[in-house]
Amino acid sequence: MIPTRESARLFRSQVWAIARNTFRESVRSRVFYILLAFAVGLLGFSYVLGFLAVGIVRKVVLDVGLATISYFTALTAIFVGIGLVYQEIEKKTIYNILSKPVDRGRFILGRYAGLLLVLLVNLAAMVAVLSLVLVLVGGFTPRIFAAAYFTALELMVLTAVAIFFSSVASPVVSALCTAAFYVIGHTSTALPEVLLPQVESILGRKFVVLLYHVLPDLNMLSITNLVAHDLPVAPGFTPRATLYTLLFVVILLSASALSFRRRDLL
Amino acid sequence: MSLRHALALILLAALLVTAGSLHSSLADIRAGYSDEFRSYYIPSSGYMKVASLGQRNFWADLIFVWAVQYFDRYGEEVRGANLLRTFDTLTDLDPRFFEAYIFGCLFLSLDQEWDALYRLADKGIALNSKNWLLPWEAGTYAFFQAKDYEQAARYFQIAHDRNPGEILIKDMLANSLKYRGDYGRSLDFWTKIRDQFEGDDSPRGRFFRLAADRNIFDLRVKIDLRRLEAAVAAFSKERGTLPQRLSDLVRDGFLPGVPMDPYGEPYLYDPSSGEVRCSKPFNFRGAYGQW
Repeated sequence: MIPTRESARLFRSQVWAIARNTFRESVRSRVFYILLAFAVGLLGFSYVLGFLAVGIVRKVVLDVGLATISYFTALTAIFVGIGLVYQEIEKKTIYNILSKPVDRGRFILGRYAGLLLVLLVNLAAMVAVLSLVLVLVGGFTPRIFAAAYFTALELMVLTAVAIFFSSVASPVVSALCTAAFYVIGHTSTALPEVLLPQVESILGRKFVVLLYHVLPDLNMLSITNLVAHDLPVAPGFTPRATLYTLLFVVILLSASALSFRRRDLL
Repeated sequence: MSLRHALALILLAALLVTAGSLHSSLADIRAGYSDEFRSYYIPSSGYMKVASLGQRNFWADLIFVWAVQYFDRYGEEVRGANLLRTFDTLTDLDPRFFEAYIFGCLFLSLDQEWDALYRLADKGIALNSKNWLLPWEAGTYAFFQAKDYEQAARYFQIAHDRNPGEILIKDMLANSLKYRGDYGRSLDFWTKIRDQFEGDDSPRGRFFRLAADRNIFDLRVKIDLRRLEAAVAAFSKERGTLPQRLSDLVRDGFLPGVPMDPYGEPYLYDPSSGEVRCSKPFNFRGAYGQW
């Protein structure tokens, strides 16, 4: 029992130490603050935009606010996450860590946890600004926290993707691939909805359906529409969405750890 | 200040002036575009669904703000072609965007685009299955502006099915049925309204009772006149001449009996023209209306 407990404590302390450093490193990034400033500006602008749309201030502020949070947290995940592993290798600072008894898998996990923490702080700041704007227009609803939870789930997936590509490719390639994942994840819903009615051959239709089930669907992790229209979330949706996210994260982090373990760093 | 700095400043100022003149020339070119050109900027809803990257409500809101703010800037002929498309696109992106249907119908009614209005309203009604306000709005446009009582009755019937307790909807449904020529159903509705306000002496109660009395009177007369005129026409077709009296219709089997008007008096008949009419119009303070 004692060695297991000890190894678990070691595991936690190592992962936490790497995560804490990743957090410190990431919050020093200029990109982080530039994107945060733009997002806060746009959230403030939603207040003005709301008054241009006769009588539907609350809906516009909610829609613009939640969309801004989604777009900008995704951009932050992409731009901050892409170089996290690669730059450690490029600058050879990774040797300081790997020379200690730290497993490469723990390094990946620590990096992931650190980046996720940065993004959650970012998300919390944006949600606070959106709440303030909603209070100003007299349309605050606690359901924006539920919407933020689903945005956090999406960020968990996106961060895992960014870490995966960062562990196997250069920052530019990694940025392109992560951005492509985000775009595919948010457009795959359109396959059965927009593309399927235009395909006539049975084989083509089967291919479109198969493609849709193979590709990730990040829109499934969004409840923006339900929050904007005060509609309830279907029972069982939240645990399933959480499980879907965790599965994705486990798969991606395992792949990252495996590829990073096999990588020759000398 | 060194010469290099001064030269750099002059160069910068020259670039700024060039940019300014380019800006005004671009603005001139842009002003020359027709309104139609600018309104083509809204892509199809299929494209927007893909390009919105999951944030469909956000893009629907932006198109809505654009549509509301710029409605006045376009000529009617341009609006007519693009208004439905604009609201169709944004309601494809956010099908529960109720205000978009309401404003879309308002704008289409101002341009008297009735078919487009019915299409947009039908889409909103189908996608917002519990909402009664949209069929109510569409019904009022059809009734008061388009004078399309067929459509008005259809919309008020939907509104009534969704909100059976609202008296204004019952009132408008009964009216549109009457104007459509469905006197029997209209009479049923007005009789129910009359019963609902029996003994209610509030201003609202008296208002609806009077409206019901007037319409019940009118509808009874219309139903009787329709039957009498049909019988006169059938008599004339078979015999080649008009009946001399209304009782001739009963005698020759064209009617089971001659109806009396709501005052209990016989209808007036002109044997030279075959015209049938009521003895007296509805009396607001008379014996029939309980006012």
